[in-house]
Amino acid sequence: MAAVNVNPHINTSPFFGAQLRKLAIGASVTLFATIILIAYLLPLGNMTTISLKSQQQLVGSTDTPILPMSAKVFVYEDKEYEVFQVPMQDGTVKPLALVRKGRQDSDFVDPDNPDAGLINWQGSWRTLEPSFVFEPHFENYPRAWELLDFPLLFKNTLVIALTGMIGTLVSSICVAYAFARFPIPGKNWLFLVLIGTIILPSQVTLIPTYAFFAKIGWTGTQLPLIVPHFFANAYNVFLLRQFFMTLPRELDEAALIDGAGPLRVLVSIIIPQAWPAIISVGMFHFIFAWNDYFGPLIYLLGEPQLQPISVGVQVFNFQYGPNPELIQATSLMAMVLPLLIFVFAQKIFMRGVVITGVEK
Amino acid sequence: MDYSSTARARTSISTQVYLIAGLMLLLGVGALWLFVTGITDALMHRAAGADFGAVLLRYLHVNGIILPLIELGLGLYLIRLAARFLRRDLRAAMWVRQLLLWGVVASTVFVVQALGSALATQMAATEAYMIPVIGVILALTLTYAYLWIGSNIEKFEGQETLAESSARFAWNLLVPTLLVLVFVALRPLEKTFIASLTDQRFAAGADAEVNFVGFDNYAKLLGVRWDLVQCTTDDTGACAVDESGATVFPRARDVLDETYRDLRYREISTWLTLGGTKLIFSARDTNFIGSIGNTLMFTVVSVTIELILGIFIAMVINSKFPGRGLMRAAMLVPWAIPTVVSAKLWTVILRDNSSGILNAGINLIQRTLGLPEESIAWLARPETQIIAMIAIDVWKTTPFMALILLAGLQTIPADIYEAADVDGANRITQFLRLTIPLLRPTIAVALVFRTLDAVRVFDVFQVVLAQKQYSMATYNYYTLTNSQQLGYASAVGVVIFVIILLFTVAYVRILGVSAE
Repeated sequence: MAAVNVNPHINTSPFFGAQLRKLAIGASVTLFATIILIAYLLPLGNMTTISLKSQQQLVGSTDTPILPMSAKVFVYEDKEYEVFQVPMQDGTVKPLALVRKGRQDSDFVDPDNPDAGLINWQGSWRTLEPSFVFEPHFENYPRAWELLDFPLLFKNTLVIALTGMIGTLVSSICVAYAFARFPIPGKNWLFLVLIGTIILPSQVTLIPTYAFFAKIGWTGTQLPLIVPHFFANAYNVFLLRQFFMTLPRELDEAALIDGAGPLRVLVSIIIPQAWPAIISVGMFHFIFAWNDYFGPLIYLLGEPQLQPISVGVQVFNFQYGPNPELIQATSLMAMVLPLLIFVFAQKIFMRGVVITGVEK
Repeated sequence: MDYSSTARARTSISTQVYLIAGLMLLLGVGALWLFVTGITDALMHRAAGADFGAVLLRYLHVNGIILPLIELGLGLYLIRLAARFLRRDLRAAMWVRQLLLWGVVASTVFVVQALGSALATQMAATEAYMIPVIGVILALTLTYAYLWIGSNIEKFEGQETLAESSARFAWNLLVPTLLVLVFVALRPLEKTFIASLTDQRFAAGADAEVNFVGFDNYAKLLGVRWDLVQCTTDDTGACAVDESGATVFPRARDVLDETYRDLRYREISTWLTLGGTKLIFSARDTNFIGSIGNTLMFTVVSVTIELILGIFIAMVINSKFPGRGLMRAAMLVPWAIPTVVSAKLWTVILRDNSSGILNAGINLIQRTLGLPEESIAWLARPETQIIAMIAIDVWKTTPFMALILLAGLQTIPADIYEAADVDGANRITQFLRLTIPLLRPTIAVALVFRTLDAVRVFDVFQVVLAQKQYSMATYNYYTLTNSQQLGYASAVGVVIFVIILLFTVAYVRILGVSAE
């Protein structure tokens, strides 16, 4: 072998080699990532455990366990007795059923060996920790599913989200294409006006818009939540235009010379190259529509058969306030679908976001 | 277009050309007519003795500014187009054809809408169907005119360049959107501003009287004052002191001037106490001033935390490590959860005894440290309510911030870090001197969008706090729905808009964000 060329500027200490250092960095990054992940998913975990509890498990005293646990009981001579963690004289802790409650001493029976008879234990039984068994109540889910008309809510949400998504994609692509590729007098000024609408708070436009929709008789229908999306949205136009600008013009020009019309160029040249951006915009809209609460709240007031899941869940929250387990079960079910879409579309989505480089 | 065909076009003067030009002229004159009647109507009111301000406000209330401008521009454009069309200008003909196409689309939509409402009202009367029938006739006429120009295009002179025809195509794509933008964004903004100058009420019926009140709504919303209040004196002339030793002050409304009482100022907080004098801060609408404070606090704190955390998380998920894909997907989970759901979840987490997981954790720490167990009623105390709001928002939107910043990080080429390594720069120097400056444009975009969203925050506040504490947006909502004060709620909306505008301008100035 020839002499190894060592760069004097790079620290290649034999004690802390590059390999090892890389490993250490990798490990600390993973550790940090895991901590963040746990912090992030903890509330969701809490949600899941609550959703699996029974009313009894929820109501208990302040030291109810976080997991869906029930106090363990043991049937001894046809009667139910609570099981406690009893410290024995030999230092071990045994789960024993409390048969006779006494102030100074109590009688227990060993559930594993009931024939051995009563065991007398000195001390106040109130200091003992009750013994819990893991007892998840999965039946909360079917119950919540029945109480809240999930198929209807999902259908409504999907109708609103998907038609709106198609509308916003078609219109935003067209508008972005016009802004990205055509020489129109006053184009920059128009674009500025369009982008300026992003900063308009909905509180400002709400009342006149509502009045307008009320005038044409669209309140109480899903139309105000769908139709406006067929006329593009400034965020999406901005995103798509930025992306279209990065596409090389040579292909368009070649197609134009070959006799393709501008619409043909859009469909056959631009759109096939722009899939990541288009998918991102579609996803943004889908998530937006899935989460949108304010719009459906005001336009679908008093029309429960048309309401999407966000409003449905909130109405349910009001009705079933004393049943947090049902509320959390519905909440979990409400987020499963966007979550699944998210996980599956994650790769393409990330690519699209990375390429467009901006957010909605 | 050869010579012979133009010659033939000149000899055969078509009545259709006149008819179409006439139609354009009619539409143009109609638009101008609308513009002029608006003004003459206002002038008549002026002649009837109304004062100028009232006439102007009335005009704005009925017409606004944008619509008359559109009427004027469209009218003049159509008349000019008709004249050019008569002169057989090819470019004018192409544009007329374009307009006819839009006319066909618009009248078809109109017919569908009218039919829908006719069916919905289930009127047996024929009048209900008159409007759709007129619409159908209009659509058919316009379609005929459109087709006629298409097949007789050789009767027109001149040439349309490629650039002109593609610009015409682009206008096709833009005009519907821009028109709708005018109606869903600019016109509402204008209407809201005008409504904010009135005492209009929500859902009050069409015949309810609307008075212009000038800037009274704003004066009431933003009316704040600072006053010095002297302590109550006892018999000796010294400041009175209560049992706990605190100086006793009289109620502000009892000692200050009459306007304080008449305009219903109420004390919000004491800013400073110096001996026998204290400086108090009062407002006419304490809820709204409070909501501005809440919203600004919420915005500044949550966006700052989200930015800092977001940068770290973005850098973590940008580096390669096992399970990165899973991490990226999991990180975005909170964002995909409807706010209504996550807000409800957090009300459970933040419950004020140890059945809430946060208090359970605090109690556990207190127990291990041997401190007395004390739970915090997160959602019951005003100070902690805002902290809770911030926590929920940070949890929900940091991943999203991280996602945008990740997009920015990925555009930074890796070789500049290698170069920095070779030059011996350590990680912190690299972060401060390379990553941050290169990430600046992305940070700017992220900050602008997040700030705008935070100032407008509605759902977290509405779901968790309802009317315990307001954000500006929820205050607006409750003013409208509970107290039905449309004019006053509009003023709230305009104030929100102005605050957002100020934020945007500040960002553009400081960070140099450009529209491109």
